[in-house]
Amino acid sequence: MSRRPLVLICVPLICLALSPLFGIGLAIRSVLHTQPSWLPQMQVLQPLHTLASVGCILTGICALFVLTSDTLGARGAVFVRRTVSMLLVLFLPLAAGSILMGAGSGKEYLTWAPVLTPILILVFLVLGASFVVNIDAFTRLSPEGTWLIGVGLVCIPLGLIEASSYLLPAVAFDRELSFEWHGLDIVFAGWNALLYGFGILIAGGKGKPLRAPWLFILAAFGFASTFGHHHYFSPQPQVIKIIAVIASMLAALSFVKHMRAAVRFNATASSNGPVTPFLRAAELWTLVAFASGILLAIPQINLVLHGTTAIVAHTMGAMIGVNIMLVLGGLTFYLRESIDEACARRLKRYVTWIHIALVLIWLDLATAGTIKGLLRFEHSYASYHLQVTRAMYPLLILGPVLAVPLLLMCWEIFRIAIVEPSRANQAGQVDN
Amino acid sequence: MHRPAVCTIAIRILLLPCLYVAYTFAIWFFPTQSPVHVSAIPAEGQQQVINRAYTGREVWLNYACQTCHSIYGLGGHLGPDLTNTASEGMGAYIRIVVREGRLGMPAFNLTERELDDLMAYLEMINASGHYPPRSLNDSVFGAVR
Repeated sequence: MSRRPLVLICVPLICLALSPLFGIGLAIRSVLHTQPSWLPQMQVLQPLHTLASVGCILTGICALFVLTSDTLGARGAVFVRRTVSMLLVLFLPLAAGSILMGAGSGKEYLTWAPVLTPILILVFLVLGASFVVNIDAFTRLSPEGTWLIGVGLVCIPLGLIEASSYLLPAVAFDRELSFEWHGLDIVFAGWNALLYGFGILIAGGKGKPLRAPWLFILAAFGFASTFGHHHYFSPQPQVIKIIAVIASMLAALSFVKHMRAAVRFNATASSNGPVTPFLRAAELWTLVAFASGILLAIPQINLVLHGTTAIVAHTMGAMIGVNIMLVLGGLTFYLRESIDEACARRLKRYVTWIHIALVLIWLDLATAGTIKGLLRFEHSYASYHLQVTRAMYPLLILGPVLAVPLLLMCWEIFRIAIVEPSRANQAGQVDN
Repeated sequence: MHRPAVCTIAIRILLLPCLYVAYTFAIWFFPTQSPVHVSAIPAEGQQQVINRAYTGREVWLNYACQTCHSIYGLGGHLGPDLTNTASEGMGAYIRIVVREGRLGMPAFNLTERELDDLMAYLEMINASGHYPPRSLNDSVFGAVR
């Protein structure tokens, strides 16, 4: 195997280490409702937190793609590795700088200056071109994983373009939110597809066949059309809202099938490998995110919980429990030769710790969201916001409780990737 | 055996973006449930109001208002949702809060012109619909004010 792509392994770890630090700042600002001078303003902290989280997932995907290409001996792998590393090293500091200088987009998720988005699109075009050239090699590994990776590579650039369509003067106010959120949802669908694709590869899905046509049709229907449930209330076309309800409710069929597959996976997977805890975590949180997504799409529940922190709970569960776990699990899989038993035990302990912290944060955010959702029917913001804030006090403790294992996990994987090979090199030099 | 698998995968990959593009066009072409009610504004002033609202949107984005506030529940949860703030006779109050800050909200040094544009944007948003719901009996798909 060729040299490890250290830049691509380290960038998602650095992003992941920074994200909870910004997140703790956000929790302090959200709960204390004061303006401590030592903390950056919310309009800097929140976009930086989002950039770090989104950056971890997107750069993690790039790292997994390059590592998979290396393993497959793909054509042009070295060019892809160098180009993608260079573009990401260019993009992330510029994106953070644009936010710090007050030149961010002012939008959700794609918080950096819009002029930088083409760099990110270019990264995925390079990966897409490499995928097309090497599709045979990917297919031999797993047809199912291959189509998921392919779909993800197409969706992310498309979603990035659509989510930036607000820059066009022709987009009217009454459609702007629809385009923005449809675009964002396609980006999320894209990175989920990619990470599940890599998940299949690292779970040892050798030759796993394509899923049944009816499940594919269900997935294709839900893929483009469930986004409408994010904002039933906004002025998007009525027909889009109705389609969103139907697609979201049909996803329950897929959920049942997924639940059975998850139970089968947990019964058969070996519990000794260092990757298994990550995959089990991703399975569990997929079910949680899946179930909460379907519930939030029921219009009567959406009426109460939309626009509250219950949605944040759903998003955090999906991003940390599924996306980040698959990124870290993938990195661990490709570094497994350097992982000894003690290290595997530590990684497993951190995953358990993250589980517990995430469950508690999830419950706290869902509770605060439900309180807000119910109180706002009868009361004004001024009269209920203190009660909602009180419900979020536990975040001041739970934030660090989640941040610590994430930071330790980053350090552990960083150590495996960087420190161990250099020690091995030194040992090799002594031997020589 | 292998070649057909690659073809099926390629078709499945290409099918989804086609569906995506079709759906995006649907969002563009289907009439919205609650169109912006600019017809209430005198015809000669309409374009001017719309232009100011677009400039106000720039102010909204430049000051990253969405990190704390939301429109139709989409955005930050730290401050109140601002979809219908402009309808509640709160214009003067909003100007004071933006200039002087309140609770966790810092003071912003907006010019009079920027504040006017921001208010025009919020008025346009207000005209487009109703949020948050005021009762469990509200229409689940939103309503025009």
